[in-house]
Amino acid sequence: MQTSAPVETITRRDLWQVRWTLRWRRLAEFFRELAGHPVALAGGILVLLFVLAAIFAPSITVHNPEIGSLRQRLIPPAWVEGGQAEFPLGTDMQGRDLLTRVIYGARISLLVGLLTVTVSVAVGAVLGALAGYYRGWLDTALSRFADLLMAFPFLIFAIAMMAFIGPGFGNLILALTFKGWVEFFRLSRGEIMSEKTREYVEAARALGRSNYAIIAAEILPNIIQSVFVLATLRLGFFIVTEASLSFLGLGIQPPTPAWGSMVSEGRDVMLTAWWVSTLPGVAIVLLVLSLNLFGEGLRDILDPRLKVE
Amino acid sequence: MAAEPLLELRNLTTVFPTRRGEVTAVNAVNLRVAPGEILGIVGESGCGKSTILLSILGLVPRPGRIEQGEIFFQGKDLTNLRGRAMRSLRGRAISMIFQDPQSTLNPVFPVGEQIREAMRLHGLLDGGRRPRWLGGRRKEGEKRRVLEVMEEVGIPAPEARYRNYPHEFSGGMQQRALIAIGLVCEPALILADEPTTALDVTIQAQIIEVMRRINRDHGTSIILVTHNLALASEFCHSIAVMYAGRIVERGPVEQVVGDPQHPYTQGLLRCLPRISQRAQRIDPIPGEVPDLASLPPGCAFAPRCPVVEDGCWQAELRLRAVTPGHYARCIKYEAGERYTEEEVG
Repeated sequence: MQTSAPVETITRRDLWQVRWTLRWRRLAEFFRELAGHPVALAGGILVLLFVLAAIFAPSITVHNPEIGSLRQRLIPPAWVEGGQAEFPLGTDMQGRDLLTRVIYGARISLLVGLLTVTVSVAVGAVLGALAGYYRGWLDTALSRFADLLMAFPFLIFAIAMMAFIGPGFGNLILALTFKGWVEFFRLSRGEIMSEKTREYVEAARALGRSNYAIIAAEILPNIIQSVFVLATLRLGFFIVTEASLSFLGLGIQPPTPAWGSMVSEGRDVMLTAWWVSTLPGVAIVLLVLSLNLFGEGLRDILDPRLKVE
Repeated sequence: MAAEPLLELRNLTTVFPTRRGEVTAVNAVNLRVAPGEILGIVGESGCGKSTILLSILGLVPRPGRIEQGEIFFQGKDLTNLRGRAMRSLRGRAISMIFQDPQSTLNPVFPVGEQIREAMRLHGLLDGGRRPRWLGGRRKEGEKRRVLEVMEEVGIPAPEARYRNYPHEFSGGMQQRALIAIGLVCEPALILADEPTTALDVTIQAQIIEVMRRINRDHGTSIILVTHNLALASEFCHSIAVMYAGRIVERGPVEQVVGDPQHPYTQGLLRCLPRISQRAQRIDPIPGEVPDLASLPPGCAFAPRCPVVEDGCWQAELRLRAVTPGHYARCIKYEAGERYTEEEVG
């Protein structure tokens, strides 16, 4: 039976252990559910491969991504007649190894995507939380501004903005986030508005919590999962948009290998050397597809509303 | 009651503006709670009893507001407190227990952590109010205190339960956890807003027992808001019966329940089912609660009152003493030479 004189010597270390066991338990549960969701698992593994390839690009490639040898122009992929094992995916018009460029291109795509998503989430979620919690003129002003931005098609808006501020990495992020935060704003605003009416918020207030603490420490942990899921899904979208801009020459500039500009470069030789355009395009499709599969799977796993049923 | 009251409401009036005009949810209410006293506020839904509790904590949802009156708690007028001063009182000196435990606990945190959080908020931990990652530190005895409180409210095996999430608790256990959150800072006053309404009858009795023990062991005053007159008469020392935003009868429980003076209280008592040999007809009060936005002049209960007189429709009634300490707001006490509550002070 239980006695009432336990824990005389609880130390800070024990408390840390409790916290960590809790975290591990959650994490373990997440992976168990992920394992039971083959589509999400496949997407997740592919994404992971892309990320690893991007991180370790210099150590897993042998060629220089930006300088090639003109003597080795337009060599077909290894499995096609005339291909060489040295260039598994062939070379482009400047004799650069396509595999190397595709791997380095993953860096650009992922970096642009992640930065854009991060900034968009930060801006959108904070503004959405404030608007949804306090309502009033702040909400009206922000929502109308968001509506205004929503009225433009994303790509057209990004093209116009890039044309205005000029190409470049920083400007690219700016152009994408300028409209990218809106989705996160609308999501977190709506979620906060519905969470705000729940009783635990009232209880937190009755416990003496400040408004700021209620938003950050009580409500946010309840909506963070939906924001996270949307972030995964938007990541793919941002990557495609970046590729489109680079394709049009408005994004990442050559010779830096970006998938979009690589597809564009290959257009001139499309009929004689299909691989130059096609293979970076395949990379775009694969990455975005796996991101979306992973995101959809995450939604199934994480969304508490789907879980209840 | 001779002792200095812990809480005193003077002429408290809380209104909500609506499209159809201003609704006076709490209408010139006077109440006193002595240290260690359990006061029951009884009435039908929408009679303003919960609004009294929210007014005390300064949590009346906008656009509602306290129009007039004072709320003295330990000698301070709470209606003047704002911001940090008010927040430091909530949960610390006055804590509140809500009706639906399931939605009142935050679903994403372990129960034990939520109890601990209440202590952290009020600086009862070493590191003060700062969270750990900003340099706040944990007091070594703090988890012990949480476990102690969990045990006190009757959560078995608190060690193991500390890490459970709210959905892993049964309704009764959730309500105990809520009481633990309310109790952990050792407040002087606990406001309980229908704490047992969402629970089974057997669990109800246990929860009431827990609250009774808290009252006895710590001398904590409790205000119990309920529509259940039977429950209130079991548990409370004194009772205030509310109707349409007004207190219609107030006094020690033996007198209000044993010798009800106001026809509304009498009606409520007739509504209680009794176990007896013969089958008995429950006697409901006819009619329904009046629309607070358009209260007629005179006694608000007049349209439903079985003993209504002509004078009821105009009379400006006051709470008058029936016997010392027992007040009723009814025309039959208007005529006599009786004290009003204001005269008593």
